[in-house]
Amino acid sequence: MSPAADAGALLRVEALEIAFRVRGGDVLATRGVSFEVRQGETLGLVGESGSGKSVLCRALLRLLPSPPAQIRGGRVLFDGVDLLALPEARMREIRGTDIAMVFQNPMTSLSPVWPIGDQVTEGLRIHRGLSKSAARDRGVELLRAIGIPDAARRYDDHPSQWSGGMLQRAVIAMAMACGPRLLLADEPTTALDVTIQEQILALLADLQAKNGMAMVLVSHDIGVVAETCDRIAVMYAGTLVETGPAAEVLGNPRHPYTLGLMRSSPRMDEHATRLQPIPGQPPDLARPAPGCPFVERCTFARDACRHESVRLREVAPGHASACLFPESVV
Amino acid sequence: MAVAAAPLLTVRDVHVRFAKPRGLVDLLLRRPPSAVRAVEGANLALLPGETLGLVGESGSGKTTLGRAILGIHPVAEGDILYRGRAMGDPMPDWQQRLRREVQMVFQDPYSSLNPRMTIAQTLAEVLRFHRVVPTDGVDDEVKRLLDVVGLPQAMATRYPRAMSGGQRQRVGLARALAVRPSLLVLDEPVAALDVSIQAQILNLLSDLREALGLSMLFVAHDLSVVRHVSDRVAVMYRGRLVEQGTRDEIFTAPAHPYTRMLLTAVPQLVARKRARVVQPATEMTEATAGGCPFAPRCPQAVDRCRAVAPAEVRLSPTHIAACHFAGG
Repeated sequence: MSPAADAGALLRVEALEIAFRVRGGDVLATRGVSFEVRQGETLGLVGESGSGKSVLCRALLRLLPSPPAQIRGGRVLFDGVDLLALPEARMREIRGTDIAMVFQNPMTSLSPVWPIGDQVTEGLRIHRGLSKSAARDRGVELLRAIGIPDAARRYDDHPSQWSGGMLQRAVIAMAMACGPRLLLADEPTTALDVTIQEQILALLADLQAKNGMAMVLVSHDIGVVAETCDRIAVMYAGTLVETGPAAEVLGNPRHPYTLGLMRSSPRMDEHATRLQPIPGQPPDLARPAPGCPFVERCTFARDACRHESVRLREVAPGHASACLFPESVV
Repeated sequence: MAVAAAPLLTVRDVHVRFAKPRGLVDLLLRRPPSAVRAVEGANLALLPGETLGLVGESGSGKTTLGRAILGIHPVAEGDILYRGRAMGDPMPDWQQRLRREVQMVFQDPYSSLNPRMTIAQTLAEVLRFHRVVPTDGVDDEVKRLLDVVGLPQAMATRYPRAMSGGQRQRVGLARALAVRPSLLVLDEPVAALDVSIQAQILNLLSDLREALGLSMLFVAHDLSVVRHVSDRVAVMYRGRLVEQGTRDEIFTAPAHPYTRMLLTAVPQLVARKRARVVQPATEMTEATAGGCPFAPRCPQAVDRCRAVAPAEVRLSPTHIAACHFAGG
């Protein structure tokens, strides 16, 4: 599990605020998002479409096009260095070496016209200066490590010759090539069948255990996160509404949105005749209202929730909720 | 479950094939056209008022089978009977009747709704074309349909682009229900929705089923959703139905190794870092001709599985599995 807290955070995000300039005003994609990821730890970032989880991930690597995106405030400290303040050349070195990212669709990261092996080892040649033959040896090893049978021969295959699950493995191998200390995985298994998802999650956990790498796993599927993460951060309408150890957050949710997510998921272990959906729709981020962003859909809402500003506050050691009345969430 | 009731829908030994495109070389060499066998020998029955879940991974043929039932894909062999009569029966007005009684709901309502028509226009068109209600009753019927699917009346004048995914799926349902069907074929109706919205639609479906006595064929890849909505479940693998049974039979006593593999792969809502075994990437190896289609991935496969296709083993009046080891 997570190493001692005194080891310090590998990644520390402080009050990150990202806006998109669109016609008719600004949309605040994230507001005051703060969290930490320690070495060797897996943080699950859960939320529904539009909650800002993917934008957040891309912002960490400075991959958002600007304009329209704009980082309005906050810091992203990696090993104590603010990534947002680095010159682009230095940032490019960090991407792919210290921090790597895996996206939902492997073909967003692969070129259809190059051999897969060359693409997997491109980072090794650029960042580590490996010769073509040394890169090839290492590439075959990598492909073998991610469970590709007959790796030496498959090294020269093109993406069209592989299945979706195999391509996602290749992208993971590419991300792992330079031995990153932090992996950002944005919905890495969403496009895959459950049996292949199981294989990919196993692969990530295995690589992580071997390399002691930290990981941020973004998913809309609370079940995926429950089974892979040490800690969970729940995102809603651009803010973190609950963070804490996975067992704590899922076993004893202290924010009505987390509870709502769990109650609206059909279960495999019991049969409920009726689900309890979260009523209504997420708020319009172009028109932020004062008070709690979840108030309109919350069954526990009181008057104070409409005008008092909310922020994450600790409800138990290491477990924080942005609800004004966390003790009433049951 | 009343076994005696006559099935509403019967699928009997149905095969669906797609022609593979022939290249120039094939033409020059006069190679015969080859076919992809999307569905092979499917047998199903759906009783009135029942919901049958059809599950499988991508490429298993579940969508193709659903579409064949609607007549979207031609059936190469076998019969599809609706109320005991073949879907292709030349009886006058039979096709027209089928189009009213059997309706489809698609995964992505955005691509199945006309972007230039308001919701009211979309619904009114169906009502007028099928003469569901007298012309002067169309407006009232549109209002009633919006109520039935839980959309506010103000939505009537909206265009699909100005609605959320959940609202559009409600419109997709309203349009299907406009002709008062008996059978709905739903192809991944909630796969594109967030979990909180998905729960709203699943509850709506169970209300509608209760109120209107609808039968449903629910095609989905998500086992927890299928478990939630289905009375019975059929599992498909590579074009074949490998197991069928009641919900409890499939989820508590699965007999086919593929069903068991699917069930253990579903993430559960319990915090537990699972120790998983890294398995090699599954290659798209072809099953040996004549053998079990699942043999290349099956942890229990023996030589017999690669040589002989398993027959269906009946484990209970409602439970069938196509595996040499089922029941034994």
